[in-house]
Amino acid sequence: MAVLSVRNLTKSYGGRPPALRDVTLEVPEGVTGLLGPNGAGKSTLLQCVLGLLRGFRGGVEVLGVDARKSPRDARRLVGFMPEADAWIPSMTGVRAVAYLGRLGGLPKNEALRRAHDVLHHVGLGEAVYRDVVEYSTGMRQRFKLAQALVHDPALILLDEPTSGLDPAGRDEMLGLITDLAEHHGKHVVWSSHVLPEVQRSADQVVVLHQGQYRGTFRMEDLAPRPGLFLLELEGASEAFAAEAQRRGLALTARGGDESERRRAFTAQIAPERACEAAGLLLASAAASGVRVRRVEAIVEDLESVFHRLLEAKVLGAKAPEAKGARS
Amino acid sequence: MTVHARGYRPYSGSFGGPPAWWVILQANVAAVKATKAMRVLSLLLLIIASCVSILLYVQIGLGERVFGRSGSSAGSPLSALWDNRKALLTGLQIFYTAATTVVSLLAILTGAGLVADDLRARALTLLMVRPVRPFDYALGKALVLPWLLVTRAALPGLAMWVLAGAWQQPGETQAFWEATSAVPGLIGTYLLLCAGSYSGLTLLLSAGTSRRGVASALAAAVIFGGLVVRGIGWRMAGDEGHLLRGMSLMDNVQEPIMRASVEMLTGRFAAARLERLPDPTWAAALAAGLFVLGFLRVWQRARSVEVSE
Repeated sequence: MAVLSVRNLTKSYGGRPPALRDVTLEVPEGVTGLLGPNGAGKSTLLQCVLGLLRGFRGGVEVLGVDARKSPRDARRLVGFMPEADAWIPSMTGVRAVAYLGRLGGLPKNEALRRAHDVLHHVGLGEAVYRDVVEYSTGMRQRFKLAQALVHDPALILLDEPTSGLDPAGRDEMLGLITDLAEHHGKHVVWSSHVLPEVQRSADQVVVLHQGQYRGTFRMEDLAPRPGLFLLELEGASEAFAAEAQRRGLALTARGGDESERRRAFTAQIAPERACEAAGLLLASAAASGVRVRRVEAIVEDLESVFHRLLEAKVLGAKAPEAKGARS
Repeated sequence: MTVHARGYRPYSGSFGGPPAWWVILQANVAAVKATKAMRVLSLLLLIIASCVSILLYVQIGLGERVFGRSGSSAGSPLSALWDNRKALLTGLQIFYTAATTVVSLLAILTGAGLVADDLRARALTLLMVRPVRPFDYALGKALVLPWLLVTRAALPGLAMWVLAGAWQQPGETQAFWEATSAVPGLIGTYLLLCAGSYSGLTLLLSAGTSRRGVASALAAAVIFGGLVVRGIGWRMAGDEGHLLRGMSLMDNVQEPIMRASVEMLTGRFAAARLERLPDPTWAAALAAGLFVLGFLRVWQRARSVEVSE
């Protein structure tokens, strides 16, 4: 079932070129990355979904509800986390989230209870009674996620959710998003520029460019890169590197330092010998006395797929079909 | 005992509840009430209302019991009723003159932030992505000051009217309330004029900027500047003078109570006072116009919210 269905959507602002041009797409269940360079029409699409824009042509359905005819019914099903800093003035975190929950249709007591619950869920349990103005950037990002969740929407729209967060904060936010989809059955549409993050958490991506739909790509369809492997070792890695090289494998360090017990490498072998790689790696490990903790085929990254989708239309090629944009 | 673990849980209850404008109104009234300015000004109004009530009691309750009726009221219940009515209207005039100053300060200090603070905090991005219509937002905001005025200004005035009746000599209470039956209407008119003028003005200015300070300064300039213009109008004759005399919001909102009070006076002094009062039709039109403009401005701001700024 499509959680979001857009048909022939066209939106223009004044005399400027259309922000969206005849966009037709369906967003399947799960976590979906909404990708596109600046000016691609991502925000315009989100505003149409939220029923905030008027004067557009075409249709938008959110979980089967026509967002054009019944924008308020559609909004009840959606939680939205904006990119820009936003809060409710002169209110503590819990009061603000409860207030927004009541506006989402929750009864007063339930709104307050759920405000406490979602703020705890996003890690703001200790700050519920502090004014939101006093929150740090990371706390405000969490607050924005909490307010999007308070009325238990089925679909959550996130606009750059990791913006302004430090690496640890990004990891936690990605963990929360994944948890919402995996353990609470939420469907997430996530607008972002940070492709590695989307690649890590999304089930599929939808690509927009210059107001046009360029394709949908499922992460499981990312192609393996023959002969390239991710490797994690425990033990004397120099000895292993020498041993592996002797067997035709080249090792490049990926992360970690000498002081760390476990180190990551990229192992490369000639593509025609890729099927022998696992055996060779294990033999090298046995010979050098190191423990292999992880061996994983490296697949092509989302960035290359993204660029391929962007270029497809520019060069006049047919837009890739949903499910499997590999060329 | 129920042990409740915090965390995300699905919601299986019903959706609905009061209309969105009511939720917005309640949340904003609570936020305004929590401000220091509001607490101080409310206390000030309470003190003024108490002082006027005590004066009324001394004049028409205690005074008559201790000293008996004197002067024109002596021996004539009708004259006493007239005097007590005059005392009540004078008391109300004092209270509402002070209340209008306090309400002006309230509008400048808190009303100016009603929408400006939301714009600064981008709160509209969070509010308008819920099942909230721009109309709900505008109505909720527009009713905040009127709501506060009902409890802070209208109720004390009505209480004075009720108490003044209760303090009459035995058997004269009903007659007093009948003789002063116009008072609730006067207070209601004051409330409408005050709510329309101040709410409209503050919303208009507040929705025009995301800086509360700017909105406050402009509101102060309009409210207190109007007094200066009105003063100039007093010195001018003809239509120009008449027009300038109608530029003071503080005078306009007090017009019905001032007029009722002045109409009880006689002689040249009363005629001069009446001449200085603004035109009631103009006062009502200005209040209605400001309210409509303020409401439309907020509605338009809520309609044009962008999710990414």
